[in-house]
Amino acid sequence: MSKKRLILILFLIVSTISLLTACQPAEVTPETITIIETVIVEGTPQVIEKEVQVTVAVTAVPEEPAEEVGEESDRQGGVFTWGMPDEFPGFNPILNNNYTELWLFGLTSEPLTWGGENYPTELKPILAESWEVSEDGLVWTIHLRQGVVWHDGVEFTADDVVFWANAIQDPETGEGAAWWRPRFETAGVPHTFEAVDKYTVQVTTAEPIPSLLNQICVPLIPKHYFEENGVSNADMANDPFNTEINIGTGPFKMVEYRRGEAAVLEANPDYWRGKPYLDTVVLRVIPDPTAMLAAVQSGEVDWAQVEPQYVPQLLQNPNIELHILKMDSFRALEFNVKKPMFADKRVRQAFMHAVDRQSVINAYVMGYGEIPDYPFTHVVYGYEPLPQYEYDPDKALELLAEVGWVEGPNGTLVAENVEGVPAGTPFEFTLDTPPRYQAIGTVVQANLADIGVKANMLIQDYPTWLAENLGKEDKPYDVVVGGGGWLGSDGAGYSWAYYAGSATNSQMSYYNPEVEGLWAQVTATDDKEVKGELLREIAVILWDELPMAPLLWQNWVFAANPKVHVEETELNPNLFALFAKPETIWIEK
Amino acid sequence: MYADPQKRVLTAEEAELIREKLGLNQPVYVQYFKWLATSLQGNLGYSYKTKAPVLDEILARLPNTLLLAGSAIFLTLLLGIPIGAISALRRYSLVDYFFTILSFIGISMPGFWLAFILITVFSTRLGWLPPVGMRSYGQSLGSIQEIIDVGKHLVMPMLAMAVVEIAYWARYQRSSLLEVLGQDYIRTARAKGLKERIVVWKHAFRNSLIPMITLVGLTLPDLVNGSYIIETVFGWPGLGRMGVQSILIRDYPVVMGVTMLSALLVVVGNLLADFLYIFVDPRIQQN
Amino acid sequence: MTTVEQAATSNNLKRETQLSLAWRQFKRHKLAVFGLCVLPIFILVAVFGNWIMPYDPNAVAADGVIGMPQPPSRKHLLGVDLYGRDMVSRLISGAQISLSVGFVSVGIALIIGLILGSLAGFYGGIFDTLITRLADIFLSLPRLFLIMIVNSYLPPNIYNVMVVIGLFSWMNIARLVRGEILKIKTLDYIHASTALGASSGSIILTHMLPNAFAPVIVATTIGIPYAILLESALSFLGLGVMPPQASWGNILYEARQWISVAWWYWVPPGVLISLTVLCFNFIGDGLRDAFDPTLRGK
Repeated sequence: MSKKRLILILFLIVSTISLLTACQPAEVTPETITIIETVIVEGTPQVIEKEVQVTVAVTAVPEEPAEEVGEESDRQGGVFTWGMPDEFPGFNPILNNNYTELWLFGLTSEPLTWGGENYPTELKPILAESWEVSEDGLVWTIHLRQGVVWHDGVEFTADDVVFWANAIQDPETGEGAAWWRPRFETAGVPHTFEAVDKYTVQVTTAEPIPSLLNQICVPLIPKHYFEENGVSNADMANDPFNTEINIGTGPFKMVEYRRGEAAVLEANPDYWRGKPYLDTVVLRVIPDPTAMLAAVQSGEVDWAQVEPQYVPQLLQNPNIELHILKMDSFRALEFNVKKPMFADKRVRQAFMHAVDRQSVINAYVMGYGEIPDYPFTHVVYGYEPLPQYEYDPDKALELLAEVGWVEGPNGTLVAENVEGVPAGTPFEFTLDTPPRYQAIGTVVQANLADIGVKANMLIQDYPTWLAENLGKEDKPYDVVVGGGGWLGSDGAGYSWAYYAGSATNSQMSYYNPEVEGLWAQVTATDDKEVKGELLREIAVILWDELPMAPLLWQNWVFAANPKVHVEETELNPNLFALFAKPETIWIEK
Repeated sequence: MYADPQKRVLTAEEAELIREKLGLNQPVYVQYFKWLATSLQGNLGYSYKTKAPVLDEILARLPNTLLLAGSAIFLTLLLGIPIGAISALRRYSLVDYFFTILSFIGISMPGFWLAFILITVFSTRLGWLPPVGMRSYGQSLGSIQEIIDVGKHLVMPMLAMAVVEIAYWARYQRSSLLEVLGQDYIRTARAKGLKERIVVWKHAFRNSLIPMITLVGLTLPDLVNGSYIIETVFGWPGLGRMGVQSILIRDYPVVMGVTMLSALLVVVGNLLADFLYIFVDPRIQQN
Repeated sequence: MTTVEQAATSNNLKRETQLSLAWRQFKRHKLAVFGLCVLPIFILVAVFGNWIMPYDPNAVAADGVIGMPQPPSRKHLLGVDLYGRDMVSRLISGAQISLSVGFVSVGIALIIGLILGSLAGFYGGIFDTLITRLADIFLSLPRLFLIMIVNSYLPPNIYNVMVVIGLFSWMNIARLVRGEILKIKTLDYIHASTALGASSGSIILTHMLPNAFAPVIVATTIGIPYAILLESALSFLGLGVMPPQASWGNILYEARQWISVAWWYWVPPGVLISLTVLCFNFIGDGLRDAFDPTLRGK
């Protein structure tokens, strides 16, 4: 090898590296990636009555009654392949709350109880069998299920619970745990977890917390693994238990992880609710939505969440069954209300009139969605439809004219006497659009163009947008196609992300002292009725002020192999595990 | 609409803590030299997303990418060189025109569009080949079935990657052989009365291969480029797909690692080409 | 007439005959002639696109249908896309974008290449070493990935796409220019010009660059289709031209969800990319043959 070439190689490496590093912006905290996609399970389940999942089975294959085909012995065995839309960020349940991860934990790991806002029944005992509270409400005695073993054969005991709680409470444990930490403390004082005997745990809290068991439903981790391998809490994130293996108590155990390809799960024969029907579950990683569609169509996967846009083509395929599930999820235009252009609520109302939301729903989810008539989703306590903003471009122009936007040359709107906007400025702004909401952005943009408002669409991935705007006092963005999901029934999710705290804290830079006072009252009460009334008061204000213009409530579509039977699994999209009883999934041979 | 990102506002302290942990509050050049120092010791850092060592992430996917790129190169050599040679020997014949136009089309088609065509024909219409991933699960896998299964998954991405290269190689081989055939020593060989077969295969063809080795060096970056798109379209669990994904979510340690490795692959490929030169061309050996 | 003038004149003469010779040679290359006939159609369509588009390419629901691409009809010759936009109009608009990305980014590459190549060739020494090494590095790197990385940090708009592609495509031109200048540098009439006090700038411009004309034209012609393909790949990955602005690449990005049901959505843009690139490649090949004296007469 010549000297010249050696130099070339060196040059090459150094230049590559420096080029890359030079591009690395210092202020971005990529850690937000794992934190932002979250499922919280808390609150109470009442509203769910309205929320019964619509399982629309659209297929040519006739549904046979389960009993006829479903003899116990016929159901045993088989491989179930589930398409995962994202790579797995990690396998330690206290460090991860990305929703693909939660689907996996739903198969392998278990919490003490399942409660949560959208679970259809009352608090459900899992690894805790029963519990009682002292009269002052401060001391909880939790009796654990006996004879449960971890996947590696060690028995599950009270020590595991104490270890698990302390690990989450320890500030040294990774960022993912920080997400759960507030649920394990009150007013900054951590709850104390003590093992009374092998199967009893006592939890003492500084203040009475009636919903304690709803809050701490995080899957458990085995103490013995971390002790035997000498893993400190600080090292947990980079330990194999997070990067390649998982040990739980659930119906399936993880036996193999092919990085970027699949996690292979096998039935846990010792599972306490009984051996699962399936032999194997394969969670295949297919991050590209189009590739996922192809995988579904060719039968490479048995079960996958798909984009609603694909429904028409999937309907044509007799080998696919669709489950269309109502979700606690909405998309919206979020305005930066600090920008003079959007400071006046009439401008925001005009946008609601100007956008044809049915077209948005058609383009984005093929019509599988609903036009919102409330600033929160329909699962929030106290929901009742509010007067609708109808699609009416003339009304929109009228409102804008009131603010001072008048028709200028070649049909564009121009500021005449708008507060904070120099006269003669055309109505032009940047519409930040994450790639997967491009369909929404496209329709909004076209609708606004009709009334002379120019929206420049900027397709930008979501982490980038967050990094630029999150928690900043003066956020650079104008309008973003945003929205949220799984924010729950008790309003807490909405308050901290959108409407409360301070203008800096709010995604839309929105702050209203009146609303703030109401939020405080919502948090203070445990009575659902009272919460509902207060939330409704807030909703009426927000529906008028519209710091965020809700465009649609959406559904989730799962495509399934018709041979897969999920009837007994208590399928629920608002539950983190998706299947409440995964051991009852079975496949026709 | 996959993940419904729940927007969480980090407090300033939380954000600062994370930044400190990741070393992002230091000046860029300090970050760079720190990274350089640790990576020279074989530690490429940890993925922001999976928290696993970047090296592990890369090593797990490297064999898949090598399998795909390797079989694409194999196919390129298998088809590109003979097609070029035939075109040169039958210059201006119907065969030559046919292959010339075909290779021009091959060079001009975007790889991902070709991938669409392949998927539509072989997967959607005919149902012969699986469109996604590297292997099926769910069959009882004997070792032979497993190889066949991976092979089936390999066919379309390999083709989509190789077609452009085959076209380039055929063009180069054609002009290289034509040039050699015009050389004096070929004329001499013919004048000596050697059989045409020997002249062509022993003298002309072998010599025409020497400049082709340079093409190896040019093909490698092309293949690496292609892998980013083709692996994404076919959901192939390799480095290219990981690279694209990590750019989209700004997972810097992984982006750096993938770039390093891509560059390294290209350099190693060039070195191999150099050694091949020495091996093939006796003139270099003597020096 | 001084020797210098004589040399320059004969140089001009030589170039003229060279050009007519080249043209005669070029005309024999049937594929190149095909390219030269078809390409102007594309360019004319792109230039006059705004007048011949049947619909506004960005007008949503031109057909009243949103959410499902509609097959070709008499009203919409190539159907409508997911948003009810007329495909013919979008393809024409895409032609404007793709061709201008091709021309502008190669223009940028040409300027960089000419400057760096001349510097390296004329001054030699450290300039030469640095620039040739730089070109080597750029050539051996996986270009698409680097462009993606750089592009992901810039505000995504079409100008950045052009600039970034240009910044990564100057290497071949620089090399060619350097080679030609090295060849000419030692010739007598250059020495004479220097002796007569001509500045190095004017020597490069009047005597050296014209000689590099032929190879540079070939490299440029081959660079354009490469830039068009790069743009389509970037847009296909969602990192290139921003919607609603249509480019052939981002039409394919939108269409890929529909490949099994809506051929009119994904086949035409692919055909157009391939055909345009094909024409440029044909012409490039024809030019190479025409300017290469070793192939002449064969």
